[in-house]
Amino acid sequence: MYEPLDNSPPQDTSRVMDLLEEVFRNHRHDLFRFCYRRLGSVEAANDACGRIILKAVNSIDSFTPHPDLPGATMRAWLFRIARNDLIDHQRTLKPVTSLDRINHDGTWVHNPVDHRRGPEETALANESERELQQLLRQLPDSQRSIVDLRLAGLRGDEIAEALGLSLSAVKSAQYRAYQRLRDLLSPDHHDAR
Amino acid sequence: MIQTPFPSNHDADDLNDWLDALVTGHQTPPDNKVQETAARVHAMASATSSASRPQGGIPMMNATLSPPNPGYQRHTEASRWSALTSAALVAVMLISLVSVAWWRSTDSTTENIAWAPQTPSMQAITPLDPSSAPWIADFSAQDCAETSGLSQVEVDFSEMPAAEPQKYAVTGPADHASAQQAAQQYRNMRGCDNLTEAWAYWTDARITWQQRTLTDATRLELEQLQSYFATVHPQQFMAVGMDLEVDPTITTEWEARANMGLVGQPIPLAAKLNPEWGVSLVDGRIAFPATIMYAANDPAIILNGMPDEHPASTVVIVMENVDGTWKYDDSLALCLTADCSGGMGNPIDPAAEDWVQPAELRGCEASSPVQDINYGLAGQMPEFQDRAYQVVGPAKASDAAAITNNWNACSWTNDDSAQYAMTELGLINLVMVEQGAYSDPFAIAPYLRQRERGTAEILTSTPGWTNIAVVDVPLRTEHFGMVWNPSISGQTPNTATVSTQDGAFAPETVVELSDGRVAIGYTRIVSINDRGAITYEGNVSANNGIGVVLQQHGDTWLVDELLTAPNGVILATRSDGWWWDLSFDDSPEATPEP
Repeated sequence: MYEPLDNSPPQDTSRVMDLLEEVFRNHRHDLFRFCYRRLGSVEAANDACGRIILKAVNSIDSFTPHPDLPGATMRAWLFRIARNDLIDHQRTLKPVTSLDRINHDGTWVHNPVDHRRGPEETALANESERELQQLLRQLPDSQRSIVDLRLAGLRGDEIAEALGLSLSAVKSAQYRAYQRLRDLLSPDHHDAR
Repeated sequence: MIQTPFPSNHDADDLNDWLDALVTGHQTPPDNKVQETAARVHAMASATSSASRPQGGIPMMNATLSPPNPGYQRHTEASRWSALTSAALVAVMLISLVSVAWWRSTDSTTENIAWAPQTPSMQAITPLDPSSAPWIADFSAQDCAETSGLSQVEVDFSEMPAAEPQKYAVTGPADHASAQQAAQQYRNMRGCDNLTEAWAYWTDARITWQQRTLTDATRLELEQLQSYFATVHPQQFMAVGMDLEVDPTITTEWEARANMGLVGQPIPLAAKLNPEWGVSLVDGRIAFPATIMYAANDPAIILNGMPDEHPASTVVIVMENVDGTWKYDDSLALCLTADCSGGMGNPIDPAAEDWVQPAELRGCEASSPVQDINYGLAGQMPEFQDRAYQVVGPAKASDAAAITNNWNACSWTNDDSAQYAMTELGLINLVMVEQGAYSDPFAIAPYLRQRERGTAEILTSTPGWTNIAVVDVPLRTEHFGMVWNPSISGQTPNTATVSTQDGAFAPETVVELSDGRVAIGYTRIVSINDRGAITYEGNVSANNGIGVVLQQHGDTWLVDELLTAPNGVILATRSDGWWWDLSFDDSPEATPEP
């Protein structure tokens, strides 16, 4: 299990860049998935990850781990950049298309065709991720952000850092989120549908 | 209002600690329902997320990151991600079924959650050996050794006689030698990664191109083919292979599941064409249903045997022999176990019902309605009183649908504000109410009108808000920025997805609300040519409800709100238009007046 080299003060830019590289190398999948779940398309997530890395690299000087802030890890910092980038990016989207090409959570309906997949794989595609995304969409965004970051592997204190919230606020919202998910997954809920 | 108990600090702390342990690899068995839910959700995510990982080597991040250098980074990072994701795509899909299966398997009772030891239901499984069943091997460049004839059937669809519909009637199992050859040729093609062109034939291109070749006779034959596979073989479209090449992420996933006691459904690894299942069609082509592969050393296979669930839909690859060479001819997405009994139904004729005309074709009338989502009428409405959505009956505004359709059509032209109104509701609230000063997406203006979630949920879950209308018009020429022609793939990758070409507001969905406003649901419009439309008409389970609320202002009806809800269940939007408190205290207390 990867343990980030987080809370030691950076010695110099090179060391911090090494740290960023290590963090990124160990969490690239999580970062991609985080973006993918938010954006709903591989291409968009791909682009977002590129932007996020660029932003991280360009703003590396702003990362100052503090020994008194256990959540102030580079991983949390990276995901905070990611979250802000996704929000900013979604704001820039000017819809010029019909209503239902925008998901209820503001993301774009993803292009169902991926030319890099074979048809038989495509036949198997989407269902699971769609189920998960549908489930998560039924959370208010404040809670969904927390669950998304949990699924990306962040700890509670890191989520608090990434979202700029207190740990207690995260805990409270987190509990509500999983309560809600429990209800959504319950047989009663499915029967009601 | 829906009251949610505020969690005790102890419960919230407990869950947080448990989740922290989970994500750091020190998980403990869940000891309450919320933790069980969390474990279940995380396991679902793991099943799908491991698929997002690349297979094989990861060609990224091997170099050391340089200090800030935008010009350099802009290219290298993007290409790295591209490399990452392109390698990951196949796995994304192959893992996908597992959560569906798991979802279904845990659907019936909460006690059936998969960390409980599964009751072994061993079935006799004879794993396939790649040495004797080479069709289970991964597609690889080695398959590309034989390149002759690696192309799809060349058909000029535009000259394809409309009176000559495609034939899909099954005459019986294909002869072994032909099926082997055809399947091998498909493998060669895949090995060469020579599918870009072949995608032109994806999703019934032959049918959809010649719109009217989708005759009743063709439809019946397609249904026959579907029934043939659904009733004769569906459980057989799964196979277990020995010595399959398994990506480390899969084995990691196996281990993780085993460690968590989450051994339930096995993880699908691939979909291959089993020559044994090739069937001959009446015109001599051979159709192969995709077979899902599992590994013999998957703990779930070892413990439980074959999965309980077989695929709800599959793709059928159709090969045609052209001058002695088998060529890839067509792909069909077929329904196997979903409810396909509804058939196509009677499509709506736009000539008879104007409202289904695509927005782009309706045009924007000069007297286009104006939306009032910036609360220009706020002076006439109480801002600190819950907005109710109680339906009191059919709307008094019989022309509401026409007004709304026109408003929607105007969004396609030059009405910037209407276009902006097409963003999701929460964002509209924030932008309009806070006049653009939305520095924090969670921030809700204290003077934002509140909504009564209970009645809103009921409203948005009414069938009129999730309807699909199948219209007897061809696919439009533009979708997702693509132009429809034979070189462009279809819109529906499987039968579980309906490609909604457009939407419109059906007059019969207009209802009057208790505060005098009227609400109208957004009906998705699907082309008759969409295979999803054929098999899933009326299945609205995957749709989120969308609708518009109009308010009368003098003699004019204004678009007052856009509402949306996932699956018509709960209103929860990205920017928390339905929630109040920045600090996540979402107890539905009324917002205090400033």
